[in-house]
This record gives sequence, structure tokens and C-alpha cells, in this order.
Amino acid sequence: MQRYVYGIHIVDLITLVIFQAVIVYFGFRAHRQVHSMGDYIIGRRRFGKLFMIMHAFGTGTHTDQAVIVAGQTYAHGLSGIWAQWLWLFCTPFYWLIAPIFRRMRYLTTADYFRERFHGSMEVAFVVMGVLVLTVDMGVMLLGQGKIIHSVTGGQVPIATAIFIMVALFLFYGVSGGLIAAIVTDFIQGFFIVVMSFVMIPIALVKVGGFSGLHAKIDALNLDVDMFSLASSGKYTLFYIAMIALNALVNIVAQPHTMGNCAAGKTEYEGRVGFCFGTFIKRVCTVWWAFTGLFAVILYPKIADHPELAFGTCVQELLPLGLTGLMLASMMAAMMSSCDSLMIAMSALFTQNVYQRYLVKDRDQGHYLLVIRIVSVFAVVFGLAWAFYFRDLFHGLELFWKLSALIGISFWLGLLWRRTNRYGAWAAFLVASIVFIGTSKDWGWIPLPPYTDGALAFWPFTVGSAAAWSYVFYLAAGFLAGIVVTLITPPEPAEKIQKFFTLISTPVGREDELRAKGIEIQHEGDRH
Amino acid sequence: MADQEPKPVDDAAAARESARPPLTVADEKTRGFCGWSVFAPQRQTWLGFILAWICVLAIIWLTKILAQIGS
Repeated sequence: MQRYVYGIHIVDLITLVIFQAVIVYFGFRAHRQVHSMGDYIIGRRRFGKLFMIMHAFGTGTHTDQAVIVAGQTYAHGLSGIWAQWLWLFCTPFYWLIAPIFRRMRYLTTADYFRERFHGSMEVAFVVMGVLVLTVDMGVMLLGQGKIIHSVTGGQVPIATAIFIMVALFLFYGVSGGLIAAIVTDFIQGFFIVVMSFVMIPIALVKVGGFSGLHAKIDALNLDVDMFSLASSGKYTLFYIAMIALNALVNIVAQPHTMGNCAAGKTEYEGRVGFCFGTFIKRVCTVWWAFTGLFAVILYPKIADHPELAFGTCVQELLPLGLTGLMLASMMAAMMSSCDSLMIAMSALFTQNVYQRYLVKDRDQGHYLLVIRIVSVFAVVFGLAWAFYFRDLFHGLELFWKLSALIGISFWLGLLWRRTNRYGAWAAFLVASIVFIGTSKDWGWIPLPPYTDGALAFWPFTVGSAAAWSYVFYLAAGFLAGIVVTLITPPEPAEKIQKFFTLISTPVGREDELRAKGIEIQHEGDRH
Repeated sequence: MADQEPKPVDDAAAARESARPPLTVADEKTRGFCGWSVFAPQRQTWLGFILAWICVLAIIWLTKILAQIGS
């Protein structure tokens, strides 16, 4: 009897199929609750803390992150954890950001740019939002496709793996919208946490406990301290500080942040979910890093390909059945992220371009059909990036930077009442130009002396090239926004007052807003 | 007469005040230079923010402890 199908044991394959069937069933079942665009995009704003925590965790956690962290730890020691912990220091700020999104009562972040600035900024955000989300989706699809390809011993081609996953999340995501995404995130999130941890005790037994791990790694006489969290040279203090700052700027401009923060019943559900859902991911990152350390001892044969550390541990350490469950969890993690991105993308186009500027005043059924069709096209664009990219890390870095370019205008508009549409445009355009000029040597402008000139002193040493690019475009963007705002006419006082009254009025006091003539775009169920 | 002169002014001010909708917490928060003031009056906000920073430090500290076990 043949025990392996496509390189996977039959028991693992059955586990994988059952898990995916359950996910697809619960996701598809959510379509009964979707009757309008608001239901599809923001899930009727009816979710409690637990669902919001798992939604934030599921959306923010992808398989490629575990692979990257384990691989970096395998190569550089425990400091490789910063490949994901770069976001650790901006996590507390999620607690402050989430209520603002919920109080806006908007469906998409593009609504913010229209109401706070002008319709032209709304369209700019739609273009940038769709661009960054398709890039992000492409990176995730490619990363997961590569993992399946390697776990199956190369028997399932990358393209086939990608198309199977896309078909699954399209099926339930398009029908159930954000409700399906949150329900499936809840199931998937639980398994990701458990499966991230389950390899640790098995590996510990194999290496002879923590003392065995230390003794065996010490015996290797490696150049770096494998158990130190301090930088080994790649992740300098300066690089960590800049990437954390950039993360704080770009997180507000990632279109799916609206769903992460504003699908809860009140602002409290949103802030607990977004902040502490992300903290679960930070804890999982610790397990991923230790998995990389165990792999150093257990699988020295992959030294030339450290990114195989996580997949090899899955294959070799987990017993029958659990390997399939792990593979299913990893697939589910990617799918739960992709379906949220798909919804955010389709919402941007349908809500902020199609309904507002192209086809107005049609019934909700019409817009619901359009948003579902657009969802399919959004995934097609993501697929195109997946087949374009060859380097996962550069794709990810592009995603971080593109989001931050328009995030500058978001923060200026929120923190400084005087900021106007001209300042918002200036911040976005100047940051974009400086980003393009400093990210690559184009030949026609001199590249700043990153690592071998005046800027290459401690702690701005190795790994600082990318960090200096962050400094230049963020500083230029904020400066341009402030200067242009000061020399151009302010926004109408009434418009500014309405906006700040909206974001200052807690959820549940919508009657006060109506009494002041302030339009509420989508109040939601909350019950 | 001189004592009575300011009275119409006071009446006008009182009339303007009564015609204005009563101030809510939201109105008070929206005044001022920057939007950051929307966070200021909420005790829950700052307690949660501090708790989140404690979580950050705890995660780093626990990871360091884990790395030292068995050394």
C-alpha cells in the first residue's frame, strides 16, 4: 500500500483535508449574515474581545514569518528574533490607535482621507492601498507556496500550491466577507498558537533539555553568541529604532487596520483585540526563534539553507497526524491573512471609487455583487506579484515602505488640526520622491554615504543602509507636510470641528453626533 | 442708572449661552491645537498603554530568562 501522496503521509494528508474542510465550512456559513457592504467590509461591528484578538492575530501572522525567524535564528543566533520583533516596540501604540479608527465610524481608511482632507487624497489612498496590499498578498502566497513545495519534497509545484490556497480562501472569503475572515481566524488562530509551541518539548527531549542545548551549541565554537538577544551585527540598535518608527507610521495606512480596529462592538473590543492579539504573535515569535536554535543542533546538514529550519523541524519532529495539522495551520495562517487583505482591497475600490464616483445610488445588493467581483480581481493582482517576486524579504520591505509614504499624511491630519489637503499631498509626494531617490542607486543622483562614508559610525554600522532610507523619507515627508500647510489656506473650520468631534465622541453616543449634524457612515449592530 | 447698564449685556450673553447646545465631553476634547487630546481624559487609555509596555518588557525579559536556562 502506498503511504505517501504528493510527498505527504496519508494520515497527514487526511488531517490536512479535514482541517481545511472545517475552515471552509465555517467561513462559507458566514455568507448568510452578509446583506450589505457594511456587513461585508466591517462585519456589522458586532464582535467581542476574543474574536477581535484572534482576528488581529490571524491577520497579522503568516507562515513566512515563522520560516524567516527560525532561519535568521539558525544563522545569527537568538538575535534573529528581531526579524519579527522589529514591530514589538510599536505594539503598545496599537492601544491608542484602535479607538480612533472605531470612533471614525468609517468603512475604510480612504474615508478618513476624504473627510479630513479632500476627495483627491481619498483616491490617492485607494491607489496606494491596493498597491501595498497586492504586494503583501504576493509575498505571502509565494512564501507559503515555497513551504508546501519543500515539505512535499518538491512533488507539489509552487504554482499549484498557490492556486489551491487561493481557491479555498476565495470560496469562503468572497461569500462571507469579514465575518467569514473573523470566524475562520478564531479557529486558525487557536491552532497556530498550539502548533507553534508543540514542537518545543519534542525538540527539547531530543537535544537533552536546555542544558544539552547549551552544551552542544557551545561545543560548535561558533563566532556569534547564539543565546544573546543583542545584535550580532545585522540588527543594529539604529536599524531596530528606525524600523519600529516606520512601523508606527505605516500601521495606520495599512488598509486592513480599519477591520482590525473597527469590527468590534465598541472601541474597547478593538483596542484589546488589536493590541493583545498582536502580543500573542510576539510570544509565538519566541517559539519560532527557539525552533531555529534547536535546528542548529538537530539538522546541521541545512547550514547552507537556514530558511529550511522551520520546515525541516515540522517534517522531522512532529508525529504522524500532527505534521498534517501543522501544515494545515500554516496554510490557514496564510489564508486568514490573505482573505482580510482581499476584503480591504475590494472595499477600497468599491466604497471609495465605484460607489462614490462611478455608479451612485444603487441598492446594496448591487454593490455587494460588485465588491465580490472586485475581490476576485484583487486576488488576481496578488497572484501576479507572487509570480513576479523572487526575493521574499525585499517584497516585504517594499510593503512596509509604501504604506509609510501615505501614513505620514494620516498622522499629520490626526495630530495637528491645522494640517490641510495641500500639506497632506506634499507629505505624500515628497516622501515618495525621497524614498525612490534613496532606496536605490539610480546613477543620476548621488546615494547618501550609508555604510562606507560619514554616516557609517556606531551604532549606524552594518544593516544601516535601509535604515537611513527610512530616516530620509520620513523626515522629508513630515517636514514638507508642515511647511506646505503653513503657507496654504487652512481647511474650513466647521469641517475640522466635525471631524474631531466625531473621533472624540465615544461609541454609543451617536445621538449626540446626529444632533450636531454629523453624518455617521456605518454605526453597525453592536448587539 | 450706571449700575443697571451692564444688565442688557449680561442678558444677551446668557441668551447666547442658552441657545448653544450644552457642552459635552466631546466638545471639550476637540478644542486646542492637536488631535492627541482625544486620548487625554481617559484613565483607561493610559493604564492600558502602560500595561502594554509592561507586556513588551516582560516578553523580552522572559525570552532572556529562557535563553539562560541550562547555561
